[in-house]
Amino acid sequence: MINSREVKVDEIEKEAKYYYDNGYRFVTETCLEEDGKFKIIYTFEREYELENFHVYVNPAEEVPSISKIYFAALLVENEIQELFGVKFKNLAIDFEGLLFLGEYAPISPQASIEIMRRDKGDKNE
Amino acid sequence: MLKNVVSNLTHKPVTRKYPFEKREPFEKARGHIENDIDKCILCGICQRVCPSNCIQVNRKEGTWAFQPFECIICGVCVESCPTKSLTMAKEYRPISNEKYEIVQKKEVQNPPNKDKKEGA
Amino acid sequence: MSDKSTIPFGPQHPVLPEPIHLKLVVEDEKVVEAYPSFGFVHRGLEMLVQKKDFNQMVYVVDHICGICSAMHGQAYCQAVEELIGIDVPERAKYLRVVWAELHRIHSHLLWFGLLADAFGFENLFMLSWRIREKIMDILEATAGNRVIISVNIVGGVRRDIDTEQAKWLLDELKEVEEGLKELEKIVKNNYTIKQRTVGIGVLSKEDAYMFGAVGPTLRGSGVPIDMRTTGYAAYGNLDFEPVVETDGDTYARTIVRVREMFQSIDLVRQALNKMPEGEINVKVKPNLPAGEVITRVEQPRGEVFYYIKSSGGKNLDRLRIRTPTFANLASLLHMLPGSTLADVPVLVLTIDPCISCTER
Repeated sequence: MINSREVKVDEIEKEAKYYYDNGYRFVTETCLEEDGKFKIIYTFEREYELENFHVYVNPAEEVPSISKIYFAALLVENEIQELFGVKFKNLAIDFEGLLFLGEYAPISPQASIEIMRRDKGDKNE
Repeated sequence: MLKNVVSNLTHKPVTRKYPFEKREPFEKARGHIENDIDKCILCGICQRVCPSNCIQVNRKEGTWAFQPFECIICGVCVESCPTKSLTMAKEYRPISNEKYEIVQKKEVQNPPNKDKKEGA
Repeated sequence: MSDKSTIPFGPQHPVLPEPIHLKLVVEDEKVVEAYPSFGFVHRGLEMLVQKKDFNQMVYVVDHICGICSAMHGQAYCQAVEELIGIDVPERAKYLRVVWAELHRIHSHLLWFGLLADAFGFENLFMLSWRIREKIMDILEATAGNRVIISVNIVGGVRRDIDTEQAKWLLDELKEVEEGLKELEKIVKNNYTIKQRTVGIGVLSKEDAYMFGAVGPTLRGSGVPIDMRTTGYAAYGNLDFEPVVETDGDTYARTIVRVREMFQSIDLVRQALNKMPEGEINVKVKPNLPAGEVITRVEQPRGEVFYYIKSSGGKNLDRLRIRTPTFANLASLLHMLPGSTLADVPVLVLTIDPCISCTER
């Protein structure tokens, strides 16, 4: 029962700039799986009212990052990149898989879709 | 400041000599669970509601198995037992060197199913 | 000539309560860059929704963090109750407020002891934890356990406080209040505390708002946002205002937390006075309807964000938790460059890090 509107992948930066100029605060991003695709929900807040929008992402697509506009989004996007395997471009700091998981950890443990391979050829489940 | 110094010098020690004097827990504190096997009817409700899967009930053999080192002492099994054979005691379980398991057995009578069907 | 060296502020440190790793690039005693890395306590609790049904999940959520444990359970139960569409009895709402405010007092006392230990004042650490022992005794007598009390269930609460226990509770709270008054005198008058905290880690008002800070970190810089004013769980009937200071440095955040402790004692007294008679929980059907819900609750460290999604059946599909320390980390990364190496422990502790909450 949340109200959230759908947005295309190339319009994410424009929407984030609109919220930044109007004084909204960044809350978080949520990633879940629906019918073989990933759905990312962005949440912003001003004066105790929440506003959301979501995008649908194919497993191999790259999503533009909003960390140049909102610095706080950097940590959440790195976490989604490591736990689910969705790739983000133009991150302000890219931790390349070392923020959450270690070097010998299983790849993208929270997703059941296989999208990443290591150099040696091991696959996700 | 002087009052603090004098009272700290003349007060009796605030620590307790632990293994020789133990603190009595409060009335409704949660310590460990115990089962009275004579009242138990082996229905299996405690196995279904346990969040950490530490109880196993086998109706055919008549055993009730419990791993006390996996239990998180939440008390849901005690609240949902229909015959009130599970109880929660106040003291925490005593320390030990290795993990053990508690298994309790009960006599089970096999109902004579086949004879009745053939007879009717 | 100055040259840069890299110092690990490692996972094991005498000052940190929980493991976090910071790689600091230092040039002649001033910190130039800082890179965090965590994941030492990641247990993957969000994935357990696939195996345990929604009633058993309450106990898993209670074990995420030891200090704010009852509030995690409260947020989860509020979200599931809104999904199902049932209303909790009034007495249960007031009891949830009582236990939540007791958790806030003991969390702030724990934090105050650790801050004093960070600049070497060990005696104050021991004294503030001694006051905290009285609250642990209250929790054991009313709810059954000292740290993780597991008292919230979907549909209400499990235990009740009768009138005799309520009188004993109020007497113990009077002794806690006297101890807090002595602590407040020390914070306002002591020379050492002021030298180590005034002017350290300044966050201006616009920076704190735009970096996504929450809780006392935000209220210490002059922004009056507090989730309790939205009125969940009987806060709508109680009388209070958000506590705000305007300086934005570590000393202002300390004063905010000390004033919040006095406000919590007042809220517990109001709630115990106004509590109506009645039942404490309602029965819940075993299957969930489909839908998604967002809830936010004010924990001692800030605002926690819960998102649940279900498509029918006994298990939830997705549970997402964004804890307040995760939101405050961006402000920490902004405050570290430019400070001296000896102030790094004080800066890390001023946002009140609870790393086991952050990594679930």
